[in-house]
Amino acid sequence: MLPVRLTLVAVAAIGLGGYYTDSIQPQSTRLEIEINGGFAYIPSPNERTLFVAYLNDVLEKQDTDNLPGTPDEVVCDVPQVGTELMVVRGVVDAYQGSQPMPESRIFNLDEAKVTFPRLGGAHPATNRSPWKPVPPKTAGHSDPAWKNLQYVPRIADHPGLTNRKIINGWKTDTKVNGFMALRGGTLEGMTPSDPVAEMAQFEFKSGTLSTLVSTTDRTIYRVNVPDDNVDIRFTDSAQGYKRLVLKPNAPGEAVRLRLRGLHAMNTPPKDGDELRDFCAFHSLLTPRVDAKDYVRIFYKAPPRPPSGAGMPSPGFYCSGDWF
Amino acid sequence: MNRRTLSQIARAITLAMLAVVALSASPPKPIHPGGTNAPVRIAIIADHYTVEQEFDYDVENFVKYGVLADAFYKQYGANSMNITSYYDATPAGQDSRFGFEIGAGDGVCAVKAPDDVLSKLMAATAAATVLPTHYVVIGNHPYNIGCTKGQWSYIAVDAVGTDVFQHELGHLVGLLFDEWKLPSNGGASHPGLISDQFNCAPKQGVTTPTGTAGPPYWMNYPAKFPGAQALDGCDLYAYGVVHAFDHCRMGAVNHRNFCLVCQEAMKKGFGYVASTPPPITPSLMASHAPTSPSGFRIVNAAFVTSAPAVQETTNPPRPVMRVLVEFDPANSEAGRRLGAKQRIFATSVYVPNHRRAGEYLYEISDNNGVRDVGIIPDAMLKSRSFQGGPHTTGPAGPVQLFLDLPNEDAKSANLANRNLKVIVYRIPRTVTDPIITKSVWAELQKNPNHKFEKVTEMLLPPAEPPK
Repeated sequence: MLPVRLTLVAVAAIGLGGYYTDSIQPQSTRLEIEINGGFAYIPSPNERTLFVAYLNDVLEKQDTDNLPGTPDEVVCDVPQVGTELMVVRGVVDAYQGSQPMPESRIFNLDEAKVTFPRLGGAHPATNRSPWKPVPPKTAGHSDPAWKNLQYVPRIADHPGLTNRKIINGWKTDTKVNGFMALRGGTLEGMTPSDPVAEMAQFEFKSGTLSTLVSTTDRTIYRVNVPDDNVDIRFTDSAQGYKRLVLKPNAPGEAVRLRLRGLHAMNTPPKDGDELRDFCAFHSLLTPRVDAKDYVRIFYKAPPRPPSGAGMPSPGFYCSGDWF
Repeated sequence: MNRRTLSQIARAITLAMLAVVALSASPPKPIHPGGTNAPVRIAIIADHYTVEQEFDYDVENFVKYGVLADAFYKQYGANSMNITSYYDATPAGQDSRFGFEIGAGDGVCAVKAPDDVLSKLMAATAAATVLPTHYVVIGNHPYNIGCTKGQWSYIAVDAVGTDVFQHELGHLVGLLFDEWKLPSNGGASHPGLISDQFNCAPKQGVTTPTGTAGPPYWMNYPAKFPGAQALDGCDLYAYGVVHAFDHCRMGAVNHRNFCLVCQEAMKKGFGYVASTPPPITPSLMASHAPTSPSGFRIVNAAFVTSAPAVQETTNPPRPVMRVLVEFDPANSEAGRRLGAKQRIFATSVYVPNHRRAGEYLYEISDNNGVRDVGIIPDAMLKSRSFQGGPHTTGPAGPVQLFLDLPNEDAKSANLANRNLKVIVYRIPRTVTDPIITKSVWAELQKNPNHKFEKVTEMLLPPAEPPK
């Protein structure tokens, strides 16, 4: 049996230990954001921030025949459908906005700049090998090979376009609808959202060069937020959103979000179809890229197994571009 | 036997019990009660999960924040849908406990189901307290895909937050067609619709078995369908068929609402325009208390929930015998075209499909005459088998489907000499009735202009059919 005095000391020590634990040990919340769709990934080392931008409608006209009297030709016409942020895991702790919170927990990000005030530190770590033809990946969700961000296309990697940069003042340019700003953490590539696309190849054509590669339309951002919640701010949201605070469903679980770019492609492409929406990213580059030098992506369908049936969901995917 | 031995035995028993608990499926979870007699009863089934909590979160996303947050489903479906989830872990190393194959599929669906998938889904929901009418499998694979065939849908988990679930329910509940065109069908014309009462109709001027097609039916109801048109393309074909609106969630572009024509079909699917089920005839039944047939489990339909439920008195729960059959209308031997595989008994809402959604009608009869009729939706048989050319309609091979027999419990079904049977007829295209009930069927048979082909007949023996 412990002497009473020693027991009191032990209790006090345990109490202090508890206090110490609560007051000193920093709390953190794991945050995961799946980024799915045709976004412009814009690293900004000076701001230690990776921006994920979404575009407005693009209607690009160029004088393709060099004849002064003829009208310019439309070389890129991409209507934008919208961008959404969905709460996939987490509990809403607070919401502020001029409109009620969407019941679906899907936020229309039209014109919104999305920031996380508790995020700091360095530019997100990104593992991106220089672009090169990469063999197609076989289906398999656990395949870690998609982690390399080389599977996100980059126009400026292609011969003749390596001197292209993002246009100055892109954040306020009319071509840009909004963005999400990320600091700290890591960004990795992820399995494509469609198993057919996962098994397909994509032919990149730039000038006279043609290369078959794999691409993905998804990345994942992971970070530890130094707080017991995830604070999200919306600036200039056309929907009137101001602030959203999320907590994990249970201690230790991650708050998970999905940033999703909607696309207007009517049906799955057939073999040889061009993924036409990709041309939009050229409009953000300077010096301007002539349409004849655009990097164009063509879908190469995978071989089909012999049977199957049913009524599928429509749609296909749009890959982003790394700037 | 000493104390240590007893202790070891107790420990072994405890471990064995834990192992049994760990290996057995979790009990069904009521997700959304709807009305107690909801005509649409959806079983959401886990596949490729190892953590039940993750499945529960995903179900919440698909149901609470998905379909029930949708304005249309909230208004018209909330009271008509009963949703229950079923969890069981998938063993390590398997992509699917039901045999679904995820991959390139056939150019139509990116998922392929085994032939006996309904039998497997039936087993997975054997603990059901509500007899499901539709099965939705959530596959824990990181893709955004969905596919529907007959009475089941497969939806990969990353389709959450999209319109895929709502779109697939359009197929399941409303028997709606896709309104988009599969590029691979190229310039081929649609091979012909069985029914044009839904969201696809033959293009005006197209020759059909009943004559030259006129304007689609929705053009005749401008007050009901204002702004409806005859737009080219439907059911994955660009030619020979039309749809009504260019903004609809059954189309391809991101429109998260049903058009007016699809809304009407969905309301019918939800029972807002329902045909009257036959009255309960207790005299036939030996007992209202179902009795377990050997080798198969009884399910009772008493849906227990703390949430308030809407009572629907027009179609109260009743004894129902559900028979899993294999239907092979192309089989050269008529006697082999329909065969019973399994059967279960339940006290549940009976919702026959009287909508003319296919070319096969089944008649349930016994010594007392015709008990009821139902239509086998064409969607259950339609093959989308696709290998470079246009896909075709019509049965490509045996398919499994459920036939529900009302007012039958284990004792009544086991009575000998009742001559309880199912007869399948092919409905000629001279029949244009959109709804075929028992009384309509009786009138149709008297009409000499209609030639009904008897496809097959199956006697339901008073015993458990072979599995």
